[in-house]
Formats: sequence, structure tokens, C-alpha cells
Amino acid sequence: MPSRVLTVSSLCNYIKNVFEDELILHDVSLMGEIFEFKVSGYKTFITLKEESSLMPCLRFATTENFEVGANVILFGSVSYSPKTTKVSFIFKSIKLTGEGNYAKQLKELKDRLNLEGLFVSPYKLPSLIKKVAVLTSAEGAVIHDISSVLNGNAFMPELDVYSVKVQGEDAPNEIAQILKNINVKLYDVVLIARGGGGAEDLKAFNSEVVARAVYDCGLPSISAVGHETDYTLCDFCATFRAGTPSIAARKISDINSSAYNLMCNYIVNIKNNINRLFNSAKNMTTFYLQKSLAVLERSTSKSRERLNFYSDMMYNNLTLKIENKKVMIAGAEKKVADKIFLQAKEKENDFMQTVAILERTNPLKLLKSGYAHISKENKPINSIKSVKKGDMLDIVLLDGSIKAEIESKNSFKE
Amino acid sequence: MGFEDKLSKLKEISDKLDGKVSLNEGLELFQSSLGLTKECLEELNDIKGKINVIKAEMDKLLGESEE
Repeated sequence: MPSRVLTVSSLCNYIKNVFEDELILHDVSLMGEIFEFKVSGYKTFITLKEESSLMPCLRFATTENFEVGANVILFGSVSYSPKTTKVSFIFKSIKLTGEGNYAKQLKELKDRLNLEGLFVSPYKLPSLIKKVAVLTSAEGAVIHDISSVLNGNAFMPELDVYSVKVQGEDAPNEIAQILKNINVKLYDVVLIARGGGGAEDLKAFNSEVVARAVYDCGLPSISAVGHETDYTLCDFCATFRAGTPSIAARKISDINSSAYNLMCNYIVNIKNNINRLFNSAKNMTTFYLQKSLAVLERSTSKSRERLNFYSDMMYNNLTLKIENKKVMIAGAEKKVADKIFLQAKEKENDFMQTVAILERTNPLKLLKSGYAHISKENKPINSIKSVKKGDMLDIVLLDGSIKAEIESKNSFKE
Repeated sequence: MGFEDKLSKLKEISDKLDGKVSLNEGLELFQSSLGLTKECLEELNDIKGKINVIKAEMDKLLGESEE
């Protein structure tokens, strides 16, 4: 039975004091390889590694980026937090001393694979993904994340999950073996996925065997390893790198949605084109008929115009002729009238002359001037030779007649 | 005669009418174009019916896929 009973706070505070009082733990330089590096807000979090030991380090300020695997020296003090019960190294400065072995080897491998052309995938992601081979840990949340993103999609692909170790010594060979044996005819895409972790956790996906297996797997591949800021050789050798498994699932979902939208667009285009083709054919059909009708109407109208023109011309000609004839007739009428008048005048003159002659030779006029008409036995007597003494004569005077007996006659010649 | 052939014939008639033709000839040509147009329109109506059937099927397929 322990003799002393401590409270939690007293124990924690005691441990804190031990750390604070131990001078060797203050203002010291700590050397190691960067295992993890993260800047969050105004704080810098680094995990230093040396062999199998790890030390979390914290700086209350931002720090320039250092690569994982880099060898650094941090200057600061060890601190213990009673709240979190964590020991950490609070550093004020950081200095690069060189590349860590692992980082160096990784860089060399990366350069070598890049030179070989493994970073250019021979495959392209298909335009429709119906079936996916998913290599991931069956125990993690990755497959759940992938499924929940894809579930919202109308064209959710079928997922075949190949459970693999995603870290540890056996992980690279296991992953490579599955990739090598995958039946490429069954799938449209292979998805290699694991959740976030440190450099050690993601080491399997930085191995040469996995990188080559991804490149040679015979299928378009999507690599979704770690967090968005983690880049592994698996990512470089894949057809498509997704920052996280959720992003990979969203990519697959987007591809299928695009395919669906493209199909809809094609259908709309086809519908529109069919309508256009149909309307064009219909318009052409009625166009020629209408054009023919217009031409015919124009032709008929022109013929009518010509008809009207000739008919007007004929009418005008006829009218003119009639007018001319009228004038001619009027002229002729006048001529005839003039001639008749002339003739009448001549006749009148003749008549007057005759009248004048008659006037002049009117016996009554003679009788008036004292002459008498003498006849014997109704025979006019104009010579004394026609009578003798004792003949009875009829003497007509102006106002009567006388019966007279001749007593004697005298000749003007004696 | 197929639809396109009839359409070509209509164009031919239309072009002829544009040229020098007598009134009687023009009338004859127009009458034959009327007949051809009628046949074309009948064919178009038939095609339109078939298009509507296909469109309805396409819409049905799209509707089913969205479900």
C-alpha cells in the first residue's frame, strides 16, 4: 500500500516543476529530422524524429516551410503541459542543417522515376465511371467518406473494395500485388486511398514498388493519399491526384454528372436539330410553292397589264379615228351646206332675174301704162294687117274690156 | 420519289417559272408544284408524328434516369 497519496494536479505540477527546474532542458538546441511540419494560424508544429524517437515541437510564431525529412536544429526549451500531459519542445528558432537520409533517398527515387517517364500516366480518366476498384484499409473512415460523397450522385458507380494495409513494412508489397493482379476488364478506374498521417504513415505510398505498380496497373488510376498538402510518389504516378479520398469521390461524381449533362445536351441538340431539320424541310416545301405562285401571279398580272395597254391603245386609236371622222364629216357637211347654199343663191338669183324679166314684161304693167290687149276672135292682134274695117275687136284694158268696131286703120310706114 | 427528290423537283419548277414560260405553261407547272407540295407536306406530317413518338421515349428515358 503506497504511503503517500497524490492528487492529479499535484503530480502534474510536480512533473512540470521538474521540467522547469532542470536547466539542461532550457535554452538548448535540439537536432533531428523533420517527420511532420505544419503551420496553423500563428503557430508552427514540427515533429522531430531520430531513429524511432519522436518529439513534438511548437513555436508560437510562423516559420518558413521546411520539407519533411530535412535535418534541422531547433533552439528552445522542453515544456510539460499539465492540461494535455504532453511534453513538447517550445522552440524560438530553426536552422536547416541538411537533408535527412530518407528525404534524400526519396528525392533521388522521385527524380529517377520522373526521368523514366512514370509521372506521365498512359491512361486518361474515362468520361463515365461505372465500376471502381478501391484499394484502402477496411478499418478506416476512408471508404465511408467515399461512399457518402458518391451516394448523392444519380450515377453512383459500383465500388469493389480491396482491403489492404496502408502502412507498415508489408504495405508496399501488398498494395503492389493487388494492383498487379487486378482484373482490368472489370473496372473503369482504380482508386488508391488512405487518410491523413505523418511521413512515416504515408511511407508505403512513397515506395518504388507501389509507384511502379500504380503506373503499370493497366487502368486509369486516382491517388488519394493523406491530406491535401501531402504529395507521394503514388500521387505522381497516378492518372489523377486527389488531395483527399473525399475529393477523389467528388471527382468521380463530377465525371459521371458531366457525362449525364453531356448526354442531356446531346439529346437537347438532337431534338433541336431534328426540329430545325423538320422546319427547314417544311419551309423549303412551302417556299417553292409560294414562289411559284408569286411568279405565276406576276406573270398573270403582266399579261393583264399588256392586255389593258393594248386595249387602251386600241380604244384611243379608235376614239381618235372617230374624232377624225367627225371632223371630216363636219367638214364635208359644211362643204355640202356651202355648196347647197351657193346653189340656192344661184337659183335665187336666176329666179330674181326671171322675176325681173317677168316684171318687165308683165302685160298688166303695159296695160297700166295705157296699153291695151287687142284680140279678134280670141286671137291677139299685133298688126294692122290682121284687121280690117268693121272687124269687131276685143280690147282688154287694165280694169275691163271693150268691144270695138274698127272704123279705119293707119300704117306708120305711110 | 423520295422527299428530297420531290423538293428538288419543286425547285426545278420554281426555276422554270422564273424563266420564260407562257401563261398556260406556267399554270401547268404551278399545278404540278401544288401536287408535289401536298405530297411533301403529307410526308412531313408523317415524319413529325414519328419524331414526337421518339421525343416522348427520350423524355421518358431521361425522366427514369433522373429517378
